[in-house]
Amino acid sequence: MQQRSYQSPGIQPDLLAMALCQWFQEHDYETRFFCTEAKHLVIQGYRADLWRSVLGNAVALTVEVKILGSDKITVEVKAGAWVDKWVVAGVGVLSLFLLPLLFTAAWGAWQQSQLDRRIWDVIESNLPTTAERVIFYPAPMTEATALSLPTDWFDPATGEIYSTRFFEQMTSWQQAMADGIIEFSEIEQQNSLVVTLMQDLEITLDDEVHASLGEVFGELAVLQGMQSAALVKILTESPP
Amino acid sequence: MMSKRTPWVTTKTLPLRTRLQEQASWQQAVADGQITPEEVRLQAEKVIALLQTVQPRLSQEQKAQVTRIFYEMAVFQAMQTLQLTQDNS
Repeated sequence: MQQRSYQSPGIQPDLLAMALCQWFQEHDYETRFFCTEAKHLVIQGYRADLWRSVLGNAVALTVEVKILGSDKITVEVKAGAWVDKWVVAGVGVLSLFLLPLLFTAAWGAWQQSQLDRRIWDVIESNLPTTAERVIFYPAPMTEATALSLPTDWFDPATGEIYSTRFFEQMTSWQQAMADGIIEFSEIEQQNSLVVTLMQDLEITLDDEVHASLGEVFGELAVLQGMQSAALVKILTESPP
Repeated sequence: MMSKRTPWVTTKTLPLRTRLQEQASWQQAVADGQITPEEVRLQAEKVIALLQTVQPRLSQEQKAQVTRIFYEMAVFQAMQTLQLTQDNS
């Protein structure tokens, strides 16, 4: 979820909601608009795109406008149950290529970030020109995310590696994606985290296990490199 | 006795990318200038087989550490992939 707050005289939440509804409709989204008991305006868009079909899910993009006063609103853009709706059997077209899950998950994350960016553009272009973004912060997160993930390495049903399927639940991912853009500094920071974890682990291992795990990490890096290369190739040759 | 093993990482600067370039399987895969789905599938199977071999040789604590590393590596790769797609969009 991404959240931004804006302040400006003459800010009109209902007109913003209407503009979002119109944008969804113009882009062939099934659109719903309602007001919650707390008087929040909720606009939802559904669309069964090809790429969502490929990913095996249909995301519900939800924008919630909270009225904080006569001149201040908070807007939340939510991706819906993006991961929760993941269905391996629904991977569809891409499953023909037998690509591991992270390939499509990263593709989905990218698609989602593009959509989020367009939605924020719609929102900010429909605010008064004097509107000022007063707060920009990610939703509160806890360190518990990693702890609540499976501790087994493999999905017993598919034999696939679990870690690739849950990266979007990691605090490190959510923090980096809070603004919808991955900066190089965030990649470096993540790299440093991985390095530190690896160094902490390797001092506890005997030489034989150290060598075996070193091989695992090396081959995993190759797999990830292959996935990234394949993704760029597909995006270049046949963009979604 | 001092171990002569090679540390996994010797620098803080993108060692995973360096490691990738050094791997024979990567050099072999990119030798013809393209990565095929079959090559990706075979590499995934290779990783899974290696993991299945090493898993029973770890203590519970070590396994938990490796599991965390896998998750954070997945985040790292997703970040890299996303940046690549940002650059290509």
